[in-house]
Amino acid sequence: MSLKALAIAALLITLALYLPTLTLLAPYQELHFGALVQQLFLSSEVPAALLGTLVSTLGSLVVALLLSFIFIGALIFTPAYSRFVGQLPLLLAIPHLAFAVGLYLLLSPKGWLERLLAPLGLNWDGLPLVQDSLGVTLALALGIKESWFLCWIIWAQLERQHFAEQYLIAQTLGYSRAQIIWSTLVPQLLPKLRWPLLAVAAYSLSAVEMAWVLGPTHPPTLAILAWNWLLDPDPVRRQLGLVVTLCLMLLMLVLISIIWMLPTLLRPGQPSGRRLGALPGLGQPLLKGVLGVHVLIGLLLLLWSFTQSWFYPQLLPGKWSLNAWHSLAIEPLINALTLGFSTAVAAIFLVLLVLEMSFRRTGWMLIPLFLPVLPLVVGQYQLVLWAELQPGWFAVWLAHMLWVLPYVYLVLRPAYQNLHQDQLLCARTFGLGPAALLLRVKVPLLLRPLCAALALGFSVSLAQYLPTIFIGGGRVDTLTTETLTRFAGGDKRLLGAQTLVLLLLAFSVYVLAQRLPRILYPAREAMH
Amino acid sequence: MLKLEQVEIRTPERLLFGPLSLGIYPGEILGLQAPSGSGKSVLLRWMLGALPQGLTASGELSLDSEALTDTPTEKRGIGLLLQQPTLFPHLSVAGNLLFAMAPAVDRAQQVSELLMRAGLEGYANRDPATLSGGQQSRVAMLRALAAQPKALLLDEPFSSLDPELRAEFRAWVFDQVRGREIPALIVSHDRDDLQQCSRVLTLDGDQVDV
Repeated sequence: MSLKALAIAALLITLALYLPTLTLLAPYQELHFGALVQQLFLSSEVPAALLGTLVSTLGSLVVALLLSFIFIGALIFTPAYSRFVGQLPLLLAIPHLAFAVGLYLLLSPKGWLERLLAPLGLNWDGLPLVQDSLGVTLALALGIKESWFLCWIIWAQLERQHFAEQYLIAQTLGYSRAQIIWSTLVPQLLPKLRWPLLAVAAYSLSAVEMAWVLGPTHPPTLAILAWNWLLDPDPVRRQLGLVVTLCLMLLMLVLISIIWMLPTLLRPGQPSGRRLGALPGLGQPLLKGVLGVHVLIGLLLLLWSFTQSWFYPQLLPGKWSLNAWHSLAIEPLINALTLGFSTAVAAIFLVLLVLEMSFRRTGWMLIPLFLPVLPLVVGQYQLVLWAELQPGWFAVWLAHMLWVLPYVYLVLRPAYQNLHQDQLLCARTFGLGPAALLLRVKVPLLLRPLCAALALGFSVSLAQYLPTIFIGGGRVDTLTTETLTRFAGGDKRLLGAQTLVLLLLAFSVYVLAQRLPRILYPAREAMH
Repeated sequence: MLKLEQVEIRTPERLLFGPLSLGIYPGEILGLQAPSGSGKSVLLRWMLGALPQGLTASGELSLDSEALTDTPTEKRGIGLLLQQPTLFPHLSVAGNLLFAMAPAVDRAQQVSELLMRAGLEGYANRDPATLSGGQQSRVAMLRALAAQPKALLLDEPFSSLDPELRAEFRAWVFDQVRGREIPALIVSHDRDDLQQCSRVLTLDGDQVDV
């Protein structure tokens, strides 16, 4: 089979995997909206759930945007910048759920922070630091987690434009670091952050994993409310669940409008010429504090996983044990590994072949990143029913591909487009055909982005919860589903061990992906 | 007077150049020529207080007898013009000039006058990206001057221009510097640029000739 035929096949398979983006509206055709919307308005839970959703989603966007500019602004053109950029993949690799569970162990009632502050005699009952009714903690946690993604995007943008010269010119004109960042960097980058912000908004809007752990509970956010209703045996409740997923899509439309207008709304007027002088450097201490929380979270997971008894207000466990580790099941780990690697490798194959077709317009491959997860899962479920596919590993594999593909594409497309055309031309003069060129020249040249795509694709599959449960019919346990089961169980020792496995697996794959080029090409510095 | 005393700049492995001592008088344009990689742009960045990471420097810099060696870049009052105009793309032509100016009542009037003198009347609201290379360079120079610098550093400011425009723009820039009576240092490879300078400094490792 020729490369062209393979590429066409890859394109068709990819289009088939993207069908849920077209079928996501199918379930709504048979609904009697009038009565359902009336019921929805009568529901006491919906207004509060809507408020929690708005606070957590808009709050996470604001926090993520502010933090990413503060961190990059504080570090750029300092020796610490390259160290920070080097740490970003590791921070990105932390699963949302693991971060949420760690924060829960830190901030929940009788958690480590309360233990630490117990000698001060603070009354903790009045301080709902997790699961607050407005979703403020959820907004902060989502904001911190997504700030690493935005930092990564900002770093990639800065690599492409000559900001160093602009920064120096602005300095010679008398402006300090903070003022240069806010008056020159932010206005230039905001329009380029629209798409990444949409991805953050889509995730925050329909995130259930973090919302379950840190978000409001009575009522929960709209995404969890819809999820609970979709699983309800009562058909009316299931229909209400569908209407709420439709509300999530409408909210996403509102968010798209807001984010699209953001650069215009925040566009600075004519410069006033005021020089504010140097501001106190709060960015680096803030970053150190946030990174410190991440380290603390890792330590807490470790401590709880080896705990037998840990009474309040002790700062460390009283008795140690390996029981939590012994009680971990192996099947979720195997499922996570097989699903993660196979979806990532398949996505890499498909994306590479689609890119080989030299289509100008392949941006549609990113669409799933800008849609709320829940309606897409409902769309997938419709297709599974239509195809009479049995719930199980393969159905889950197909479901995961809808999110693994766009992320792999996000990494590979710029790298593929930046391939040195002269090198490729040179190789063709040696008689290499398209297939040989791909395998013997392009793939080795793309080794680093391929490894990054493998790691990212794996971590995306690892993090999937809703499609795993819904499409797998509860028959496929992964580390993520198992971690949420442990969370519901309430035993912090089991929760700590299970979350640590999730975290360590994500880290291990990233470290492996970073090292692989060195292992394969130990004597080729340019390949590292 | 812009004064450098016993300036040495080193990489971790070797001495890049120095010791270098010189003074540039108000209204004087000193040319600086040197082989590639000898550190002439590095010297300019040190004078601005923005020495690239990994390099170390010793020596003193002063402007009108005020020590500047440890002064932050934004407080030095030294303007910079680079090979690329480096205009802020999110601001209009007028916005770029206003960015450089101190707050004042008649700033709009000042912008109009500056643009008129540079032959850029009617360009105030234009997007910098729509200007020709020569026009962008003139706006960049106007911007550097709009901040009322006490000295000016020019890092190959004419090398991206075609020969005809280059001579015209050079004459305009040199007139501006001499008219404002500020000391200026220009880094250039071009013989014509250097011939217009009052003195030329040649930098080659530890060999320094004026």
